Amino acid sequence: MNIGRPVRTVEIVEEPEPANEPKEAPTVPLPDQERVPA
Amino acid sequence: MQLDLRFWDGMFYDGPRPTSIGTRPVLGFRLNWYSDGALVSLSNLGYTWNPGQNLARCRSFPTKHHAPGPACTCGLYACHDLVQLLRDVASCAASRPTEQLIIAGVAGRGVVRVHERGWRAQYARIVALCNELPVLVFRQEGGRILVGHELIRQEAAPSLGEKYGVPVVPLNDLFNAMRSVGDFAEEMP
Repeated sequence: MNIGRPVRTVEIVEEPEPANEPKEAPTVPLPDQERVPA
Repeated sequence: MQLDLRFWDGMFYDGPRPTSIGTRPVLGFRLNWYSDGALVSLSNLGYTWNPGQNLARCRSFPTKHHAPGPACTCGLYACHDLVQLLRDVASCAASRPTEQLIIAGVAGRGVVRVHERGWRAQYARIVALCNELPVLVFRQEGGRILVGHELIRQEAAPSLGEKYGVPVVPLNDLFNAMRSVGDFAEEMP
């Protein structure tokens, strides 16, 4: 292919793929707190 | 003493400092030969394109500098626009009449040497393929020779589309298909 004479030089730096976001730790339902009678 | 830039290219001379133009790969168009189920560049060295990202490597002798060298001809080539590319179709087809030419849309990035009618990139990938090729048609009518063109279906295009994982479309839809597969700069900023 004939692309002619050089004109300038550029640089295109692609953004890195977004890293996988850390998944939130599964929330374990806490057992109901014992109700301490007052 | 005059430096032979073809030899020292990329070792002591990297050419002008590249200007950063953002993060979006730039779109371009190229002609390729179809060979052994793959796209092969038109150059004498016949680089076979891989699916996904391709990295340019200079195979000039004796020096192997980083491609695209400023004073070399290495790099992954594309034309800025389709009309410029189509001007080359007739001469390419005539040079190897038994082989199939395939028009591809590509996206280039990394260090890009911008030329008047196209660019040479450090990285490029095929983003869409065309299943038609325009050819000149001559016809005689009452002593006058009429010149026109017709679109020839390129039978290899669908299987190439599967290999490269890209859409295969008619000539008129190529640019839209290229735009639809990613976030690209449609022309050199």
